[in-house]
Amino acid sequence: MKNVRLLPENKTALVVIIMGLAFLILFWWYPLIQTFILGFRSADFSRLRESSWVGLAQYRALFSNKVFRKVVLNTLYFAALVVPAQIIIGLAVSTMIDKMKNAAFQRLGLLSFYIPYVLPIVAIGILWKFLYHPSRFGIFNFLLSKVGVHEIIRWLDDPKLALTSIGIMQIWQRVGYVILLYFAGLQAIPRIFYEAAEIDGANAWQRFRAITLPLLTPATLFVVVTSTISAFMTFEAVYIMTLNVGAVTRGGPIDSTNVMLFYIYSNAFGNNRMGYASAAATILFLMVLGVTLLQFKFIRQKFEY
Amino acid sequence: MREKYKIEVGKLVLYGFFFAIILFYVFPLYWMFSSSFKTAGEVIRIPPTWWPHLLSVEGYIEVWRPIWVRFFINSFIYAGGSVAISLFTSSLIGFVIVTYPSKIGTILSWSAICLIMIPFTILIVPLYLLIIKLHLLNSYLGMIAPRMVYPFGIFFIQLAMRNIPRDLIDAAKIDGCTPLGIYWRVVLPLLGTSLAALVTLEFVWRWNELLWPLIVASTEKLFPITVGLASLVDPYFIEFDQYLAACVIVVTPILIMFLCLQKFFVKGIVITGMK
Repeated sequence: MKNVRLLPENKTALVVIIMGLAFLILFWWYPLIQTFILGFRSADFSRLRESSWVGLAQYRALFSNKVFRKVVLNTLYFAALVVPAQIIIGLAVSTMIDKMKNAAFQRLGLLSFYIPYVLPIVAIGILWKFLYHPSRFGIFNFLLSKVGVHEIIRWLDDPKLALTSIGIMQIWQRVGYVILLYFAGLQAIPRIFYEAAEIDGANAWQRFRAITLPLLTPATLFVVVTSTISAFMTFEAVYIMTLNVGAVTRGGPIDSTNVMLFYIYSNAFGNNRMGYASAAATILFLMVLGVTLLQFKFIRQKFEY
Repeated sequence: MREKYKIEVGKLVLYGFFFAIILFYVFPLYWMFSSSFKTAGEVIRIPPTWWPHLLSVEGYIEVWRPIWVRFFINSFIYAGGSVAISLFTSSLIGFVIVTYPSKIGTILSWSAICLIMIPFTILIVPLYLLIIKLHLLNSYLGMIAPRMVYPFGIFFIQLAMRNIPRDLIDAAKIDGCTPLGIYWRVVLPLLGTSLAALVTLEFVWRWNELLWPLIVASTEKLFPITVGLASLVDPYFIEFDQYLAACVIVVTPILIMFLCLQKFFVKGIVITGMK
């Protein structure tokens, strides 16, 4: 660092860097800091100029709010449901695809799984709303009736089921991303390892455990972290699945599908409680930061072999 | 000979099983397409029909409004605009940081790395207030503005720059080439495919985005297709075949775009994973 000059040797370069810094400060750092600060103010949008410092009042309001506590639990539950499912299914499917020798089939397989990932959640949400429809023409209910379950399941209306139903849809949509990453990781494992193990008498499961899984650790780490963060940041799926006539600020059946970002959105833009929403956003940020820092810790540990 | 037969059967079972899974997995999409061509009555028929017994496009006709063209254009402006701009900003900034090292360049670099860890949507509240202060609410610029510089892009380009031989750049410098000249003539072509991958990925993400455009756009004229579709959701007033037709309309362009750009998209995902 000592030999590095303060400013770049070229004026154009200087301009570029200054503009880059200016932009990042304006649109990223400043809003980030503002999120923290607003969390300490009573910032009602309509009276923003009169917002005053209220210290930890917003946070106290958050934690004593039954709905917020439920929202945090919902978010955590959602992540706990979606992330392991994506990883297990993703790993299983990508292993299967990897075993196929025919490259065209591989491409077809991969394609089928990640097409849902590139489609807008809005469209997928509407589709699944239809599939989940609480009546005999909702395909899932119809199929269930074929195997003997005759009660109509209210997938999206039942408070106990709604979030899980949305979770299933999200898994369906996102597993393609995981499959792609795992597939790339699997392809990078030299075949020689497997052949050597086979000669040594290892069966398929043993080979998987001893060779595949450990070598996929970096991929798994990345997938766990990104999927968890995405799960924490879920908004659009919940928004579209619980959107009904004019009820933008609804949190689903008794707030059972209210997740953090949705709560932040409804409070900020529905109820105009910017300070309150910012405090919640700060908490969400800390959750995400926590996951990211865990990632760093793991990288340090795992890579000493 | 017995051995060989066993292996073949095993393979067949594997492939068969695999195809079955794919079929189940793709089924919702098939359902969306096939049901969109049913009549309003047939869509809600019990038991459901697996393919339209009476082909009808009435869903499409009834759900279509001329403003949908506007929605698509808006999506294109938002996604295309943010990606086009961030493409140049990321690559230019990354290039400059690496080629003309400086302390403030390093600060910028570390800044970008830290920002990668912060999801954009955490910042929606202050960004909204900022956009209002700048009088950019309900404008294209307001939508695109925060997306113009992409921290991950900066980081990524810096890594990609390692693959460009230093000598090439030095030679250009000696020849008296300005930074922009070097950027344009030497670096950009060499960064080509990596940039294309990143850009494709970003484009798809922007196109499918709902939250930020939803916040910025307050009139229909500015809705991208995602917000437009969401504004359609009103279960008491339109029929399901119309809903599904709407979904198909929304999904088809991105699907086509994606199928053409698959290669880049896949590469993009893999690259972001291997950081």
